[in-house]
Amino acid sequence: MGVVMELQPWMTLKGSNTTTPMVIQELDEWIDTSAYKTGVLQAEILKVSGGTLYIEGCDVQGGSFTTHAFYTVGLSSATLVFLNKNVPYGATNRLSNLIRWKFEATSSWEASFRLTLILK
Amino acid sequence: MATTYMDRAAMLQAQAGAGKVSAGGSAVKYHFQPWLTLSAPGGTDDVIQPCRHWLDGINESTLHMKIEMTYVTNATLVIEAALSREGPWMQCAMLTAATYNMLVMSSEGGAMTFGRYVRWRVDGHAANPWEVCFQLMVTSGAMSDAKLAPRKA
Repeated sequence: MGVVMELQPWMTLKGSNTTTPMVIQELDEWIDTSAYKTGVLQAEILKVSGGTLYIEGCDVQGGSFTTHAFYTVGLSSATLVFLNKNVPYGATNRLSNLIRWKFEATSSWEASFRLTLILK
Repeated sequence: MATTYMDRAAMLQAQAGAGKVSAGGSAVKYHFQPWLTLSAPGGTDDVIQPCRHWLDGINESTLHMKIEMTYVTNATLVIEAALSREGPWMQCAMLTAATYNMLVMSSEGGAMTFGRYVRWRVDGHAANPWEVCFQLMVTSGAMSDAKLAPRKA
């Protein structure tokens, strides 16, 4: 059965790279997609400045992360990222078992976004 | 094929008992305040967490609160605790700069005593524009007991 989950409800973050150079989504808010074959990530990015918002995944906790998508500016409309288990390991569009977001700052930064994940 | 939608608030409530950390024994992690940005042009000097989201620690002796504040200007984030909803509210932490730290609160004596309820309050400068961005996580019981795992889709 397919599911739709909010990887991240609407949120605005703001900070300085000197005090908070990186913010990573809390572990218990990552989504475990191991029971699904395909995923579509809908990214609604109202604003990104002073850094990069990454959507990334790994297959086991502590493993290396693959970047599925990244955003350095806001988008005028929602974008879709298509993910599938049946592509080579390490490929950008391979659906990882665990999905999360991360923000890396390079200067004073701000981000306002929502991420929705459809899994089948 | 039917598609189900899992609401994050419902999930968190199921996970944490709608603001109540679990009875002693196993440790529980509770997203006390998900990432929140508040901004005001001045003239509003106090924002208090809605009472339905206050943490009820009636069954807990120790709470570990992770405070992550990425941005603050002209404001103070106050963590406060009380024996009853009516107060008086005792200040456990006052934060005026971006920070990442852990606040340990105990009802067994010590500097950071909490009685039952814990809440946050933002004290903004009424005369100036202010802004704050923060999140608060609470773990009850021993941190090492906390079983954290990603959400199952």
